Amino acid sequence: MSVVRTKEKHVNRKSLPIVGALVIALLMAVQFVVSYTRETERIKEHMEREMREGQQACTAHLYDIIDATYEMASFTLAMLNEPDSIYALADKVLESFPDVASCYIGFEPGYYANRSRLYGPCAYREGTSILHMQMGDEMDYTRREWYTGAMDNDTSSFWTPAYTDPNWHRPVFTNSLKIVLPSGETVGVVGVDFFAEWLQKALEDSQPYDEAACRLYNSHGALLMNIGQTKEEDERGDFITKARLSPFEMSMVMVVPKEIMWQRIGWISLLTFCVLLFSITLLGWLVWRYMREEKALARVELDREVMRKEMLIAHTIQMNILRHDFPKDETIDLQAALLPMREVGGDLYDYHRDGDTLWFIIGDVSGKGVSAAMIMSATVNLFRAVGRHAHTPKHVMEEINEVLSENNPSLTFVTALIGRLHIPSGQLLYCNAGHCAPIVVRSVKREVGGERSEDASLQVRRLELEPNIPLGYDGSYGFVEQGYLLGQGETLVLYTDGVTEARNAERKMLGMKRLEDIAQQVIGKSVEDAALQDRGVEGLLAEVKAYIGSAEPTDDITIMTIRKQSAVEPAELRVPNHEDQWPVLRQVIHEYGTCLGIDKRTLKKLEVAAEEAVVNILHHSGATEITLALTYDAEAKALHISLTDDGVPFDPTAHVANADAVAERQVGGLGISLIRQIVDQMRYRRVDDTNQLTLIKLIVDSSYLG
Amino acid sequence: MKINILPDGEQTRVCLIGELDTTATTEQSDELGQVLALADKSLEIDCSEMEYISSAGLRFFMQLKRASEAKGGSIRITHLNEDVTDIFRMSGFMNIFQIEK
Repeated sequence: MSVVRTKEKHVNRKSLPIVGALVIALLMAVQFVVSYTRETERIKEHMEREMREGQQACTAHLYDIIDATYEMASFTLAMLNEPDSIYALADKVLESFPDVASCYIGFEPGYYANRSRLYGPCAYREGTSILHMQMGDEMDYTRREWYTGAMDNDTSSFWTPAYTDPNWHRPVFTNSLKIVLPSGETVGVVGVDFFAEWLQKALEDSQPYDEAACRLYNSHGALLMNIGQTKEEDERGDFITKARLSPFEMSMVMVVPKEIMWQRIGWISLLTFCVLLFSITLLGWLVWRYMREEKALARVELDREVMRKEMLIAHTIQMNILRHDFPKDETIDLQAALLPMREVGGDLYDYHRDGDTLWFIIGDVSGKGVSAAMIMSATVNLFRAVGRHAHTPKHVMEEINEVLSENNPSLTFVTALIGRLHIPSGQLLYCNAGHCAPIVVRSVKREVGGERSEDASLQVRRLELEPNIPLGYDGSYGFVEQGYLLGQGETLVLYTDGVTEARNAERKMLGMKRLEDIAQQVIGKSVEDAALQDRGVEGLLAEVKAYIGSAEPTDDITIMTIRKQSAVEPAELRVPNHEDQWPVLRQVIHEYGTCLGIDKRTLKKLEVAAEEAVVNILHHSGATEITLALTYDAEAKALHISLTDDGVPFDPTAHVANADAVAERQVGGLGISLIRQIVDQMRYRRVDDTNQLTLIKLIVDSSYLG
Repeated sequence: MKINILPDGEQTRVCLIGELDTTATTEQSDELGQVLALADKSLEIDCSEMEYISSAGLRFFMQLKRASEAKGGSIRITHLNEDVTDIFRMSGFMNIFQIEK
């Protein structure tokens, strides 16, 4: 018996979202760190790549510019003595270098005594022509950055920040170089202004991102040019890459605002977040589903357990409805067994013994399981209730049918067979309601009055059945009952169709014929041969189960056997041949006939017949003794009344009686006539010196009315 | 067997109670003789309580009938039960006697 188990889930449903959120957060953090690092690397790589490219792009051009500056410087040194020719030199530079906006020298103040103190020849482009001017006339160029910055620089040229020249409206920047004589004397500063668009473009090209800033600084740290966001917009956390453009005393700086990072990893984060969210949600849903299923399964298991227990109880209750105190004595042996297919079923049997009368019922409710079990219970109880006051099986059947037919919308029907057996005589009155025909199994051989009956074909027979309808359909149906005489040693085998319709592994039904064979084997045995065991109902059941074998049972199986055990012992009585002995003989005959269950009317007639025979002996035989012998031929179902006397030979059968000539009938003739009419056979034998008269009366089925 | 004789005006009712078998006819022949003595009367043989009759009893009835015919009486047999009726029928006595319910 299994114990009801309950599973306990330790996972708290509420914590699941929290756990989920934590997991998401953790994974997000991990993902963030990973992408941050990666992106940082990427950005830096990109910046450095662009930086290098920018460097390359600038460097070439810058060399050109330096060339111009140095060329100017060397020209100037060469032509120091001819200060006016410097203009021509400057022209040459302008012609050679299209990017040059202007080219000039700022001599040291007072260098040329015969010139102005500030002598600064300058050639500049205007449109397509090149013009000259003397800077010193217009300004004090020694204060200019290009001048001061170059003065500070001994080794290399100086760059001044780009500005938008008011004349040209274009960005220019200046490269200036201190001119120094080999003696160490400073002559002045060469300055070359360059259009800076190309630089702007180069810087723009090397922008790694639109939001990035590219800047050029001179050696003083002054901003030469800035592309992108201004220095004021720089923030901590921004990516900065620096590179020196060494020969030029410039440095290039790239600033990528950190917003880029957010932008770039923002997308990835969002995507990852969505994927994670989706996965977690999916996982969570699956887990929830699983838990729900587990719960449902647990509930189902619980319900099933409860149902199992209920069915077990129901089975016990139903088995307890059935009686098991089978009557068994020297006169009758009733056995029954019921195997329900499920825990409860629709097959039924019942019986009750009332002195010499045995009532029994076998039945089968249509359907299986609980619904059939309910009707089964009702039917058994009705049988018991009606049975208290029952007269005949027909009466019981009709009463039960009336009740079952009421309120039967599902048209559940019950097949049944009810019988009333008078045990001593074997007189059976039975009523069928759609049930299967019982089998009668009789003994193999039987000695009867010195004659052996070896007719094996009579061993197994089916009981005749009226085709009455089953119970539950028509409450007003009039059932027809029938009679049978169960002989000594005969066994009535009742069963339900679960037996004949049992299928084996090959799906073949057991069938009536096989059942008859089984019954013959198990039950039909020689009364004389004690070696053959009558295995009764247990034996039959075992054979049926063996037939079914490994196949699944498809219906309830019920078998009931009723065996009439012993006959009435033969009676014999020897009395003197005297008038006053008749009452004695009559008493014996009366008792014997009652034991055999002969009805009163027939019995009385038999007594009359016996009286006639005895009176004949009394009056005509001259015998000294009369011997009365009473035997019952179970096989022929006949009562034998034998009268033996030791008187003169007298054959009463030789006398022909004529009912019409009653008036002239001889003494004794009337008696013979009556005997002939009452009994079935009259036999006379002269044995040794005795007359033996045997009156044989067949005990007819259904003559027992109680 | 017991025999009750009840005069009833013109009729005389004879009640036979019990079994009219060979023992009764032998041992109660005197009482039966009394009935035979009334053969000249108009007799009703009331068999309502007669339970059994054999050929010996039938013989008595035959004697009574002959005596009644000889003496000018009449016999009615009444209230035969089933068993006795069977015997009467088998023996043909139903046709001989006047039998009433």
